[in-house]
Amino acid sequence: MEPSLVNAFPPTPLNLIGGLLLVAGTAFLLLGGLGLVRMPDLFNRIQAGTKATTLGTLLSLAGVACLQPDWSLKLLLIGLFILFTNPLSSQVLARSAHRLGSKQSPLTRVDRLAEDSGEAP
Amino acid sequence: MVETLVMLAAGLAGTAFLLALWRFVKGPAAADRVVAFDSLTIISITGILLVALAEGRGIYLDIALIYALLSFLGVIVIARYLEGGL
Amino acid sequence: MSGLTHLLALLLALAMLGAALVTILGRSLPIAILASGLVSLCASVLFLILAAPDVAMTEAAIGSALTTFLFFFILGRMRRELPGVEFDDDPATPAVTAAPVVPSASVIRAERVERLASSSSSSSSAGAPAVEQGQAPGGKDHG
Repeated sequence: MEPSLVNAFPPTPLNLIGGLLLVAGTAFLLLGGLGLVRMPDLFNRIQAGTKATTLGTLLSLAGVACLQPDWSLKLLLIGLFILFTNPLSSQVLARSAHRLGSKQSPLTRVDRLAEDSGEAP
Repeated sequence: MVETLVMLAAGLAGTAFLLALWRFVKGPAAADRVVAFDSLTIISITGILLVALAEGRGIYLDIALIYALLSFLGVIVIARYLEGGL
Repeated sequence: MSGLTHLLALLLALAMLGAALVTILGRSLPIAILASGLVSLCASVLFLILAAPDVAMTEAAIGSALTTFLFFFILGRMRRELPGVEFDDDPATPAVTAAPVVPSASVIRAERVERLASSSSSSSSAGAPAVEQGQAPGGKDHG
């Protein structure tokens, strides 16, 4: 029951790069979570909660692929799924919220969707 | 050295999970909670990766793959419901 | 099991408690469904930490995905067929009926009204009284 992490990864350059990528990715996840808490309205929250976490997850996947090169194929598949589906789901959610008339921050200047559908800007 | 970096990554991911969970509990509208749910799913994908690293078992990545698929489907179903089109 | 997994397990247990409290104490039905999906998600990662990947996979596919989708499909159908009952008591959530008129939503609503009118006129003898009796106590609770 001793920690299996000890001596599992010798400090070779590839492992160090992997660890640093992992920390960078989770730092982006943390920034995404912080933006999720701090942003003023729903659309800004969607942006923070989706873009930052997508980049963070992709960086973490790259870090794990550096630490365990045998898992590269599966990690690549997960990364492709996240890269394709995450922007799509955030766009669907943002369009639904816009259609429901979700409240916008008073700092919002441009609303192209409302202009395109002919409503008042 | 590398182990310290992995532990630091786990701490950062855990903090991100807590922040997104706070938005989920507090979020005023239902759409806010859906965004928080999506973020929580993606953060837990990274958590699954870290657990797989710690245990050294590659089979755990299958669950991460399932979650990468399911977060997309879930958000689309819920957005359709909120729009009134389901 | 290392310190890392202990930390993650503690965090997940805390998250499960929070999500379960949201499920119980929330006033809105969709939010309760979302929160129960979150409980399933945390439970699935917890099963994974306890070295049961097959149980975790089943929990992810059934508990977190299928149950949530099924609840939302049924909730949408109930909203379509029982127009008087309000499922979402949360004042922060914009109701669908109060939304600004956009073409697609209004078309959907008009179709629903047409379908309701035709179904109630055709099958008023059998279906309508039972539905009304079933829905009366729920309406009182919500009101």
